[in-house]
Amino acid sequence: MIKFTDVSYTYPTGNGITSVNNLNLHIKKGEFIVLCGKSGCGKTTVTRIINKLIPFFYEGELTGEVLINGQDIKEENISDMASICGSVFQNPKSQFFNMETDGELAFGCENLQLPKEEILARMERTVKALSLEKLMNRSIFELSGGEKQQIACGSVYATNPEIYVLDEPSSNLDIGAIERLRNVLATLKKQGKTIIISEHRLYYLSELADRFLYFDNGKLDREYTPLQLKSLQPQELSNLGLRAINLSKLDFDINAIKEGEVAMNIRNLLYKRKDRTILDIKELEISKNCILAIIGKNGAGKTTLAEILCGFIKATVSIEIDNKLVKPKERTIKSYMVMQDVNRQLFCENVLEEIRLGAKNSGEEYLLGLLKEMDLLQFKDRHPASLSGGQKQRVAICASISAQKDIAIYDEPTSGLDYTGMQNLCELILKTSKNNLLNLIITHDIELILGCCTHVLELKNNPIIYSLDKEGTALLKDFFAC
Amino acid sequence: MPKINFDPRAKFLVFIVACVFCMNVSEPLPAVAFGTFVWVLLVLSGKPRSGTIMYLTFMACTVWAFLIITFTSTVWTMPLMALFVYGRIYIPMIMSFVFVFQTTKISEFMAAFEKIHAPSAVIIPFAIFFRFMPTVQEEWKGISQAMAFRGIGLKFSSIFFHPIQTAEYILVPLLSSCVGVMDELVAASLARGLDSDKKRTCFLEVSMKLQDYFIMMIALGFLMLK
Amino acid sequence: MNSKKLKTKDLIYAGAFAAIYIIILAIIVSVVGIVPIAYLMSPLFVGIICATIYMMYVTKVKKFGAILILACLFGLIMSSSGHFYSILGAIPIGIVAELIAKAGNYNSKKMFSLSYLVFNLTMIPPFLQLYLATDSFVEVSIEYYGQEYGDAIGNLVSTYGSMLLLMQVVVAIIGAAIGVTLAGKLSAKHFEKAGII
Repeated sequence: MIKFTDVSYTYPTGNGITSVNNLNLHIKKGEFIVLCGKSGCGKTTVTRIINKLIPFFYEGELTGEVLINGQDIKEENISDMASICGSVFQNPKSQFFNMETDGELAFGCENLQLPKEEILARMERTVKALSLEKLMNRSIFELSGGEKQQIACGSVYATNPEIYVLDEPSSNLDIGAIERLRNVLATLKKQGKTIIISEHRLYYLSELADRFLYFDNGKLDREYTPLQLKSLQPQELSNLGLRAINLSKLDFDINAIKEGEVAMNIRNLLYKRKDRTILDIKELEISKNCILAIIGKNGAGKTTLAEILCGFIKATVSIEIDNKLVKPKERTIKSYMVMQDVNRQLFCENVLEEIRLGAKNSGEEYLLGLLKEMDLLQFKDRHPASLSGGQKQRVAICASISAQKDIAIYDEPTSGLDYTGMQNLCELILKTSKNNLLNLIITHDIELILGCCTHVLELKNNPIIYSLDKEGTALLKDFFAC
Repeated sequence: MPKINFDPRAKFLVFIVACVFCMNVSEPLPAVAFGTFVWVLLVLSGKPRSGTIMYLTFMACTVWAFLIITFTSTVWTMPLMALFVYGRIYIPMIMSFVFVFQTTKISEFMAAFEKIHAPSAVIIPFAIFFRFMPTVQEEWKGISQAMAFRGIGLKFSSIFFHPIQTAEYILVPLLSSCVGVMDELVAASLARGLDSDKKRTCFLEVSMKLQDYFIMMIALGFLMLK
Repeated sequence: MNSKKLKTKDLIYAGAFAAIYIIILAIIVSVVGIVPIAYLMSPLFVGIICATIYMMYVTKVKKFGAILILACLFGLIMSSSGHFYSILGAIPIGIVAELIAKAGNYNSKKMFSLSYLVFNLTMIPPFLQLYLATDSFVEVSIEYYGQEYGDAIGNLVSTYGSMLLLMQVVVAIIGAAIGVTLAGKLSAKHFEKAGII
């Protein structure tokens, strides 16, 4: 059904590095293929060739022959592809065209010029098949990331394509949403659709995939069946740069640290939005030197809690740091959040200036020394926006260190990172945590939690905080259902 | 209260009439009549709460302006009265703006525009304009938070003394991150078959019904009264 | 792949950049408008800041019609907020700006900058209401503020009206000129290095 013969591609700004190198690939109808590999290995590029974004949107050099259903992709428009191939992308926020959910479900069908009755019928089938009843007739902006992703899948489902292409669809999703995504994919597989999915997170696909294609530096390095992949030792997987395929096989044995003095004390936190109580915490003590993971289902209030701590949202609460009451404005000065969207926090024209901005000590020697420690010295004259995602994140973290903030908060720092990226982040957080009074990580990445966290705060109706000793890890396993 | 779906074109006419009417009519009585008309439309279209709040504000402004001018028109009350008069003029326009843009779905707009043979070069940007506004707001919010963390927040002193620097700190991340969203939006739209050369269909019925002609007539009637 | 016609993706860019342009404009005008006289100077401030947005947009699309669409959207939105003359002014201004950019073959930074000097004049039509519809404005004023005040305003506008208008045009052009210089600096310093342009 899909055939790549000797395909190579270079992005226009690719500095001459080929993203995909002499690729030969054959995907049969009805197969469920997972493309995996380290960041930058070319798996996303392959998905873009299949849905024709290459060469129609991403201009660049494409050589070789790609046949889909016997037809060369270079012929015909990209819009003709939409009826054969549907795409779901990584970022839930930026892929929708409409502002309301039903309009979005109909979008693809309207583009295909289907008559009104047909569109309505398909919308109904989609809502039933993907259980979207609760999401109908709502503004997309109100939905959570997982719900947006569901609508994105629905929008594609309604056009009933033969091929589904998904590019890291689970990146911004939590456990529950990933489970729902898995169910959707299972439904599609049963219907005999051809599914190509590029992913870092492999565990939710282990039962669905027919083949795992491992890419390395633009080449198709090797192929695995699910059985073969599952039989690999965790060490072998990490050497390949891959994330865990079986969550229960992860190393849950962590040395819990001994509790230090109390760094922050949160009392009587009450936050409501439109008559709904989002956060209700009577008392919460966080000790010094602990690295606290904040977990919870979607809508549990993780980001809200972080914003309250940083003093951005007004809420009834009394927060004491080092036993002194601290007002919201002061908390903003003391804290720093590494946001999910790193682009929002890069302001300067080179990395050195970036960490000089807001630095307590703007001496050249100190800053250069800091860059060296963070393995960023070679980038000191580069523009932050020209770096890779992981490097940008590193710059943002470095800026927080130079500003000598007391409270460091990380908001979903590993979405889209491969195993190496996640490992590096763990090391970085462990290293820098000693400089900070408090380290909070909002995440639903269990590997990250096991890699560097010492405590967990689970936000739910009755929030609980526990350290990752034997009992703690049992609670953690429970939450992640492994 | 059953929701009536008016045709976007009828709504648009009401809106245009509102702008012309409100800017040119100074007597209170016709203004009140028009305001009431738009309020009814809002309630019928499914926005009773915001519609009523705006209407009550509007009526309050009218009443207060009237009271002030009748009883205490002195130089002290002038600025206050100016405020009320502006409220009286502008609120019905805002109400009709809400009537058009917040009760209509993007696909309805696009279909209505297509029916009057507007080129897709107008329709698509128009639709994206509205869809992108909340995105810009979100990015702005994130950036101002990031700025607050770095100590370069939007204070009066920073705008006054270092205007160019502040402009740089805002424009650079704003444009970079918005362009990122734009590129993803384009990719997702193209991959789902959006093509400006192709005529799209619509899942909603977009046709002028009796109720639409009715409200258009009332609106035009107001105009002729003047 | 490089057709001269506006494609779907260009139209999406148009709507998105228009959204950014107009939101920033609205913020500037509402901040500046706090001081009554400064309100008249808003074309200056808008020109300085929004030039960067404009320049990025035209450099990204580089095709005929891009500026015109922005002008139309601008006019439509401004007209919706009551400044009725906006749409009438925006279209001819847009056409002139478009033609200037075309003269540079959509490749010349100089011509793009020149076209923005013209484009920023779209800030003027909203104020035309004050100058041209003076009579009805005066009528309203007389009815509510009394004869004296109404006459005073009428006199002010009729005597100084044309001067104020001229001043606004000059200020709009100056603002745009400063803005494109700033845009050029920011582009060289940031956007080109980041690979966005």
